[in-house]
Amino acid sequence: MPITQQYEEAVPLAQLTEHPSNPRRGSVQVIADSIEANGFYGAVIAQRSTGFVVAGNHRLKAAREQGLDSVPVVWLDIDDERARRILLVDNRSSDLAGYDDPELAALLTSLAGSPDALRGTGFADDDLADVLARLNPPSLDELAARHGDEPTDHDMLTSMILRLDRPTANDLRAALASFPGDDDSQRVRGLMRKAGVGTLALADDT
Amino acid sequence: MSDFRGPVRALTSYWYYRDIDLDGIVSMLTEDGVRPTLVADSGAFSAYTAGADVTPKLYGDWLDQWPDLFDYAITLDVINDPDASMRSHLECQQIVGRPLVPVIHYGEPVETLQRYYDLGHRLLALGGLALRDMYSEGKRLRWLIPVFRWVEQHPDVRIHGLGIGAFKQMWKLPWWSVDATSWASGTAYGLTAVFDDERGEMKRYNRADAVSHNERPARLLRARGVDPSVLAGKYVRAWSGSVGADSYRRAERWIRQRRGPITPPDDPALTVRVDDGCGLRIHLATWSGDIGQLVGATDALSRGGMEKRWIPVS
Repeated sequence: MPITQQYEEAVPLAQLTEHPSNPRRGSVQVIADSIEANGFYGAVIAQRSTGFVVAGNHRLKAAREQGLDSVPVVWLDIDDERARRILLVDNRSSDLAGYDDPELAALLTSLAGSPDALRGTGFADDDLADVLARLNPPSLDELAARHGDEPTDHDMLTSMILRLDRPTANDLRAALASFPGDDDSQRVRGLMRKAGVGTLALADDT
Repeated sequence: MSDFRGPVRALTSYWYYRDIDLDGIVSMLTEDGVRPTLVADSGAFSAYTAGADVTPKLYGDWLDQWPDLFDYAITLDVINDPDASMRSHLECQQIVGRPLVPVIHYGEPVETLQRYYDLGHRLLALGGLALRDMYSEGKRLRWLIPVFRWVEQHPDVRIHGLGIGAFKQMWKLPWWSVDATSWASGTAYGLTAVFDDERGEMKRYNRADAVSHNERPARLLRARGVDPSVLAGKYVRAWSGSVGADSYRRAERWIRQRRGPITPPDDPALTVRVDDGCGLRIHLATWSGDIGQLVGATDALSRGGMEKRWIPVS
């Protein structure tokens, strides 16, 4: 298919309308931040006959939020069906794209060290951290700094699951509660001493 | 369409496979001429919950039936007593008549690894990490970090993680191999494991999500040629398992690409010289009824032709 008939000009925002069938829900804030950092670049793509935007609906919203009077527009001479197709494919092609993590990390890292850091990129420091975390597993020291590297007494406790009918469960709870102790182990040992079983429990008596 | 063509890896337990023709299993799991890699364990815990006992003799006789099939076999272990566990391991090796991979359990002192090392073991399995009260990542890591620090001091040692199903756990530590049931564990509840190659995340695709076209897992499935609707509505559990198996194989590739090579250990229990040992090996724990899902892979799903490759084992 040849190049679609198109004409570019600066157009007052009042002459543009968000496409009424646009199913896309994006982040206007990211685009607004970009306009603030980088200025409005590129153009909104719109159907000449209707003024409906087929590509750049969120850029149009962001431009309004930023108080712009006009934006560059590429007018397309297309019918309504083609307008809807472009509306979809412009977003869908973006959906299907991905990133090369090493190249993304290199680019973000180079900008993160600049005075403006990641301003106007749509990425935040956490995003860069996520990319780097996908590229390199954490070291043992990093894991230890976050979680510790020595099991606590609580870590060493073992949970046991008993499948009891309700009256028996209630009885057991009451029996355990009748023994003094700061934790379950002490109370269970008390119960076992009473029953005369358990090496550890009986040793407590000696 | 699945673009993964590494070997299928499975953990096959004596308890589930004791009456199964494993040559048939190997044949079923062979993809494009690439044979599967199999690891054996006793399945003693499963047997116990079913009211049965697995003895070293039974386990050894079964292993003898398939002398060249398993890359390695894991010992019959005793939980919560390192000394008893070591005695049991040595006895088990003697009865079975072949070296087995010993198991060190959560909470045992790091010195336990050294004791097995001194006996000549270079492949050690860590167990007790999949129990119900191991929900806390910090709890697991506070024990695992000193263990892996010991491993750093012994570069000829490799570690197998028993029941390491969480992708993040696989990624964070330098396992040589792990086994996991989690590739299929959500299927009973309509949850399918879907690996996001771009973000390095294992997502759980809820049966209910399948109606939404905006859900990222649905997009991932479509990109692999799988119609998400097969995981909704007329939900077929086997298909969910197949997508889960494919996802864990993708996760293995993802980790291998980033962690780089981890060569096989020079361990007497290793009966097959693996030539693809350059990185993590995720063995999908199976029982005989679900093993076919490992190869009912997504490309078959996309053709609607899964039945041709789905060979149920009775």
